Amino acid sequence: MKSTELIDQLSEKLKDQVKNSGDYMTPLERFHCVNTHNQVPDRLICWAFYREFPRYLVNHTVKDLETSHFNQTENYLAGLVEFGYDTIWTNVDLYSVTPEIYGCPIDMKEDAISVPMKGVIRKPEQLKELKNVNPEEDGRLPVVLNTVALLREKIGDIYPVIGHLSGPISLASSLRGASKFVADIKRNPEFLAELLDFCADQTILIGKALLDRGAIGISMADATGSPNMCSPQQYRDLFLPAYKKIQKALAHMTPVGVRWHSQSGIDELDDIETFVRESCEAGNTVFHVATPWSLNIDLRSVLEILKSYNACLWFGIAPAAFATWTEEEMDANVKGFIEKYAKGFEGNILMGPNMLNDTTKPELVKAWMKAMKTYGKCY
Amino acid sequence: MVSGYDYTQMIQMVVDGEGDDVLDLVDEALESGESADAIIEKGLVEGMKIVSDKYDKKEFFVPDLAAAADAMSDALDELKPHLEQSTEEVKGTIVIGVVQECSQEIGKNIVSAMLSGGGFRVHDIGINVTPKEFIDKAKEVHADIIALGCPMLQTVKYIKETVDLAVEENIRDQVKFLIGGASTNPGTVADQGADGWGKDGSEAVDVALKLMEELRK
Repeated sequence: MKSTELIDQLSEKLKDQVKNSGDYMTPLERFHCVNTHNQVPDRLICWAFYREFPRYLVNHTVKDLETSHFNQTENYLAGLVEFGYDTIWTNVDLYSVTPEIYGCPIDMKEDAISVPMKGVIRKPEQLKELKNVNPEEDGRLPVVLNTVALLREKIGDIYPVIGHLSGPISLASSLRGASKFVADIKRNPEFLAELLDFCADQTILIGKALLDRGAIGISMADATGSPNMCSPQQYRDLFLPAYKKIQKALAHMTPVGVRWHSQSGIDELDDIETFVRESCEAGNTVFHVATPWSLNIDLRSVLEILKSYNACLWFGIAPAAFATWTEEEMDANVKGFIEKYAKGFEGNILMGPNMLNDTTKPELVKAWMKAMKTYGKCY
Repeated sequence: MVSGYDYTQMIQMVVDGEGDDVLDLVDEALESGESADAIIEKGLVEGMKIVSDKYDKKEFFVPDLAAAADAMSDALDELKPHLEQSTEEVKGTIVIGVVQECSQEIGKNIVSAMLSGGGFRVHDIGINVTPKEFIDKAKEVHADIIALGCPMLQTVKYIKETVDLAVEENIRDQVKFLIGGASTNPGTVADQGADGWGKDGSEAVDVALKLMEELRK
């Protein structure tokens, strides 16, 4: 694929860094060790969700990233070189790309994440007018696909390039409009089931395209699909069938599997165990809980359940801490978290901040990485 | 004058989230001589209190809250012209919106309806609201409170940016910041320089009343 000089330079630098890191495994080997085989890695995975955060290193705006796969690739590579975390986040604006294709008006500012402003399905009968997406051609999906392909070509031998996309529940909410969507759960569940089925189909089409272009797994962010958005029965009747359909279509295509990492509000559930088990039985391979709320639940019990299904827990330091703590506080907290939660679950845990953003102090990301490498060694 | 209107059915329709029925009953109540304030207080707010209570007891869930808030919001729109003629005291003026880079408005809509029902004059400026848009609107309407909905972790930073802009614009001592949403907690208030946090619509009304007391001191 065509590249830029900066992409080539950063890729080479990254390869040198990985080679000379002193780590026993490459990030790709570490990823497969945990996510594919649930085995103990050389050290705990540093699983950062960082999206547009490193763009200052390459002087791009958010809009630059959202509209060019070269810029996006430079952004991700610069972050990896600067901080050395183990993950690549391959979609800056995942909640707006697909809704835009269907005509949702998008507010795209120069240096802020794009947002879908309004739904397009005003009446249920309009659902039938919507066509399937063509990922290779529609809207900004080629930016996403080309980013995955370019990253896979440049660093796919040492880093796990995962295809990120928005999940079916969030897509449905954007297409219908958030308020109408939630009211439909109560007032019109039959229509909502049809809408979610359609959105699952679109997610499958995009997921297949991501895998075709080199992604080694599929990761769906689905904020609206959090369990506190509806009753446990509504989640079972409406949300889970959409996830199951996606699993059935895609999971066999990748050993890493398909994950939907939106379990915010899990601490509000009366029966956490049933929710975790049902999600795992539906095929989810990664459970994401957000700190500090996750600290209210018995995480080791959740880890026990996940381990029995060969699934992982992703949790870690709260994003706000990356703006407010000292380096010493970061060190002490990472050490404490690892001792309290990770011991015995090294093959089932991904530790990192949910979201690095513009308030994040780079020195605290480095302190986090240093602490993870110091206390997260597994042998 | 003692009211003869029976609000039982209106309350039940709010609880059931049946917007069209609520509107019909609001019209009926107005025709029978009920004031807009009485309809809000004895019908709509009573209904929302039941919904809120059931939500707290986990008998109701977000879709129930959203449907009830939607019904209440439509009814409040219907009552707006009558409220402008009302002599009842407004408890405060609030500008409410969802912060920049976020389109998840469900919680904000619920809180907005509850605050309106709670006697506040509410200016709902929607989703993806920039700090400047919050502050400009607050200045325009002389807001007492800016309420920021922040459902996603990556957007928490915009709370502080909005508070900082209020300082820059020299209105910080005239306005209180009420925050809420899935990515916030009581600790976010201090982290971001806000003044109060509401877990849900019902609590947001209580916190807003306290913030108004603080403003008056």
